Amino acid sequence: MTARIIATEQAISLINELRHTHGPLMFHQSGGCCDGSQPMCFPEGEFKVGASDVCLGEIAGCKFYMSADQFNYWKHTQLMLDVIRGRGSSFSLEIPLGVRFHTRSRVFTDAEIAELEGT
Amino acid sequence: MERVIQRTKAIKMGNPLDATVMMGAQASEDQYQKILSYLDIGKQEGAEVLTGGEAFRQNSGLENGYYVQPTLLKGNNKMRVFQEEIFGPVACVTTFKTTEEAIAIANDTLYGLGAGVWTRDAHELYQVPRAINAGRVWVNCYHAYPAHAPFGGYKKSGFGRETHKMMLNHYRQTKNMLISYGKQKLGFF
Repeated sequence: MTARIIATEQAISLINELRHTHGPLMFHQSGGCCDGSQPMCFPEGEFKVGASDVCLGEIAGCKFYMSADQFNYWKHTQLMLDVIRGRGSSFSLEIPLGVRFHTRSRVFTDAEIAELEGT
Repeated sequence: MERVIQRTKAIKMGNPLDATVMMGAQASEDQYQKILSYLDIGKQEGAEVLTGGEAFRQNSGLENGYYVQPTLLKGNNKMRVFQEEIFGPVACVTTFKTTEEAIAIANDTLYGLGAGVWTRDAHELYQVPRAINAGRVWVNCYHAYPAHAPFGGYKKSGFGRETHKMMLNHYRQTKNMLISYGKQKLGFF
């Protein structure tokens, strides 16, 4: 089964640390204007998602969303949630820890795309 | 394009305290990593690297600095490196055959903060910028930010405008005071 969103061990360990402090969590990938394009981590339900958002899947029990029109440009890529050092500038929950969630992308193979579209 | 590539290659990188250096480091590690991730996805999507395309390595104690080579990518407008703002020293180049096609490419995006048009045609000079859905369109210039000119984005690039006198109204309330100067009672009682 091909997943649209996966995570590194470091990302999962950071999610577990944040969940210990904040409870259930969610992610929303911010748009690509200015210095956006970053995964945003919020307490579950704090960011209101609706019909204009797509859920790409779950990582470590957290739903990962993106706006539907952005998904249209991103759907040929698998996203991998990673963690990098450095203080980012956003309201994402990990910021005070001096680390930043980071989205890496990989282009799906034709076989993977066929499998994803079949579901 | 050959001349653009030469000009890009001529950008001098290095220690930003050196007055001859034209481009220093990126502002933060997360920005640096984000730019490198875009270069990675751009190459995966099949963009051709015309110049740059990697981190910039140098000696003299700046080995671990967040330096990225000035980069030109050639590809098509469906690629993510064309669709999103990389916020780094990366320009993406594509080709078009007609003015209509150029306008369609310019508008095939979720965003619309700034755009640029270069032309010697007096008709295109007006018609093309009017057709582009962006909050500012520079014509035969680029990246000028005069203090009095309204600035802001169409589509997902934002709400409202900044920096023009009329924008002051965004920060003000209109108050209506109805004061009677009459010394006579109004007559209700």
